[in-house]
Amino acid sequence: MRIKLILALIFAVVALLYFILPRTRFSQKLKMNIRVFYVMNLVGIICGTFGIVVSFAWPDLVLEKHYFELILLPVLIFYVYSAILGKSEYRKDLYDEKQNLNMTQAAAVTWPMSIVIVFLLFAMYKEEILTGPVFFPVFIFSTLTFYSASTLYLFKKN
Amino acid sequence: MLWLIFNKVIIKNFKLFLRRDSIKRLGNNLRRCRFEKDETSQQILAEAIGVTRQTIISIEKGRFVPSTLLALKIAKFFQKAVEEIFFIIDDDNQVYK
Repeated sequence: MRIKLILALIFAVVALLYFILPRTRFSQKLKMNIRVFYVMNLVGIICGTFGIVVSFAWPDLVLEKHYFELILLPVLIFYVYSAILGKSEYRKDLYDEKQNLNMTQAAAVTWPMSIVIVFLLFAMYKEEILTGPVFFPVFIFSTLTFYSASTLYLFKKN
Repeated sequence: MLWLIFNKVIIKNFKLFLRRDSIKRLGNNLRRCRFEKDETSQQILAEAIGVTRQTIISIEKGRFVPSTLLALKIAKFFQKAVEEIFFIIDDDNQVYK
């Protein structure tokens, strides 16, 4: 119960920051440089991989004990950070055009991959390797990992 | 005759599809321009036109085709016409300026 309250409080604060910060001068100090871009995607890969491991290791607890939300929290914070910058009145372009292209390409690659992941999950459920509602965190973590990894790969490679 | 058509049309186009570099692509003199302008580093150029250094690297290597806006920004930075920096390379490596 306590963790639910803490999570709800964090989500409320993050939502509040999203609406308030872009209108203040403080948003001028926030920066979206290449390091933030790298860290954001690395956090996506780490949290996603960690989430997959936790989901398979403790499939019953991942939703019950709110590990799912806890693991996703750093990623959420980074995405909200970039959303605040995107909404800010003082912003320049958030990403350059190559970053935008690579993120679009990564999304285009992740979409067919998500179908493969669903097929794999279906097979796992059929073979009773997984049971219960754990398919949702596994799906979210897998796609997150794949999307972040392909964004970084495309950005470095192309 | 059929084999000839098959070879000329299908196989050639399939090879072109696989080898994307053999279709018309954008070449550039970016590296030369940088060195001509006081050996400007990729980082300085990137900061001046508001992109990442990785983008400059990709443009120089011909892996990334910049938008018209970015090409114009680059041209403005070097105080040159866009055609002096970017050009088209045909599949026979023929250069069109």
